[in-house]
Amino acid sequence: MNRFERGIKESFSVPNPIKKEEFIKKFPKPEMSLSKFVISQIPYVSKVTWALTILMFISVFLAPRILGVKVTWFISGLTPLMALLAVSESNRSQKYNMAQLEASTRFSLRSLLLARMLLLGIVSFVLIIVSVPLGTFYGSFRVFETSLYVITPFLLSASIGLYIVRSIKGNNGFYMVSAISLFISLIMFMGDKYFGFLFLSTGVKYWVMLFILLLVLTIVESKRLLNNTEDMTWSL
Amino acid sequence: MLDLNDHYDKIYRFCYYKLFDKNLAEDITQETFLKYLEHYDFSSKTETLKYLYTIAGNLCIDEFRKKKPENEENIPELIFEDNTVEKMSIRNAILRLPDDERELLLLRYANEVNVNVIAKIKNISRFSVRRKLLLAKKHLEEELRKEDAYE
Repeated sequence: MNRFERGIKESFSVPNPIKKEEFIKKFPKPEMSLSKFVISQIPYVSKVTWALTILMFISVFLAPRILGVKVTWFISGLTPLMALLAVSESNRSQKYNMAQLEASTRFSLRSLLLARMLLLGIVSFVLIIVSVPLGTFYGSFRVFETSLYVITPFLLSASIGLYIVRSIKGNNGFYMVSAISLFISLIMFMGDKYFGFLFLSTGVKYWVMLFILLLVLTIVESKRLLNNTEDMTWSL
Repeated sequence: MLDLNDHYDKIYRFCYYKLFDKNLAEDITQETFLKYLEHYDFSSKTETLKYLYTIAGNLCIDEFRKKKPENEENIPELIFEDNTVEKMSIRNAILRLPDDERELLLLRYANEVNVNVIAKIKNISRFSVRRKLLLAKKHLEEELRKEDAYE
């Protein structure tokens, strides 16, 4: 805007409105549907998280061509990293000491966290849904076993991660979650070479038990994280 | 989401420079938001602006018809506390412009509505908006030269 245009702008003065504050207070706030609210959170999830998620999708599609039958190990090693992304995103407000500020905004920090976890949960679900058929088709396990080997590491990483970010505050918690998720990933990546005994057909029932246990733990930890948001906010 | 606080001021300014009556302009501003809320939500910013300005414009026309001014050539004299010589001369020149050109200048420079949205509000092409804006600025400069108070 040049000087002349700024002059035009400033010349359109108006007398101060007198009924504005009263009107804005009374003005009904438009309701926002859940889906719109969740979608509105997409730009607020870190760009790095989205970039890494896209990279994971690309690598899931490329993996069968490069790794052939070993694709199951790769995919099951990838899902804990997806869980790490979701957990670290849920910890971002606290990590950057923004939780107090966000708690005072139009939407509560709790609902924002829930929306972002839901968003990344949906993305993780899609990644798993895409991975299982690919793993089954190119890998050496049946659908049921592949699903167990792909989802269980994800749940293990998510449940431990959620527990840690809830109990250990600041960067230390984040580093610990990263280390554990990477460790789980590494075990799964090297599953066929060094940990073959974990994937014998006789062990499937233990995997099922572990899957159920971790699913319950993940749900419980997610609820606890959301319920404790207020406590976390005031004990930064 | 629309910033109600900010847009209240902008719609109020828009109405004020059509009616030159602060009470009436404020009533119409409030009626505009209430009418908008009856039919639409605030999800799309572009569409929201288009509908808000269109509703406000139509309400102002209705009000203008009710008032039926005796002398349409009568140019109102606006006096504000923040008046400087430069501002007053530009404002007086703006008031002498045709309504359409004044409205375009207000939308583009005072309310900072982008050309794309103005095109939608006025139902003309973006090219046409740019051309009309250039013409409005040229006429404003001519008016200012007549006053010999600017440049």
